[in-house]
Amino acid sequence: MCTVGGPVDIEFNERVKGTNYRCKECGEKFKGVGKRPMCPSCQSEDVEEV
Amino acid sequence: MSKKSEGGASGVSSAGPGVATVPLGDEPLLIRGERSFLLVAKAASRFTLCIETPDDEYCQAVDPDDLVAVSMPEGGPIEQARMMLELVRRYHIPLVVLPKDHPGSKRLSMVVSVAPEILLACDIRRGTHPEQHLLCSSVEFSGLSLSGVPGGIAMKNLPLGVEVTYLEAEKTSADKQQ
Repeated sequence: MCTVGGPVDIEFNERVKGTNYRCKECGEKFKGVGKRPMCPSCQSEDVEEV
Repeated sequence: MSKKSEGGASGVSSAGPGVATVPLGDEPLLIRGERSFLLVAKAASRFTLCIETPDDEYCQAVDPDDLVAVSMPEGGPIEQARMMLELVRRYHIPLVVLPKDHPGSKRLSMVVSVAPEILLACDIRRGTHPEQHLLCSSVEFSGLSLSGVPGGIAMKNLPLGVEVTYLEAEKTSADKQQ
């Protein structure tokens, strides 16, 4: 069974790490994960790391 | 209402030891075991998926060949899973991640992952992992690995005896009105 209440759980050394970006189109700041980040507000790919 | 295709998924081929590749378009693929099932589909478009954790928000860029997988570790209505799948891939609803030891974890009847590759695991606490490459499943699917490949999906460590079938892609409400 899937663990839903017991103590067993996989722990990862590498947790999710985001990179901070700013959208050059709409100015939205967000934390992106993965390749080719995209603005969550306007879907633009014209973003820069901040 | 979606209908199950007659017979198994057609075009299943082996891409190496223990790897089966199934052609996949927009229609979801149902992988059904004895007591649980998975519903998997291609994301089919490029969009941003927001993952809301207790501490932060992460915005993941999703590509068309990435997979959206819904797992129901104790089984349940397939339609429920299909709705969840479409809410994510078509309407891009954010995923909410519970904190460790949250009491709501045990009430989650289904969980979702969106990633190029997804590993099913039975030894994770449901709904509390933001890592999208990992998805809670029942024991019967634990160890199964799913990868989105051009035009299809590759499945590694597919358990014996599971049924793999296509679901018809749901028409949009706009389609139905036509």
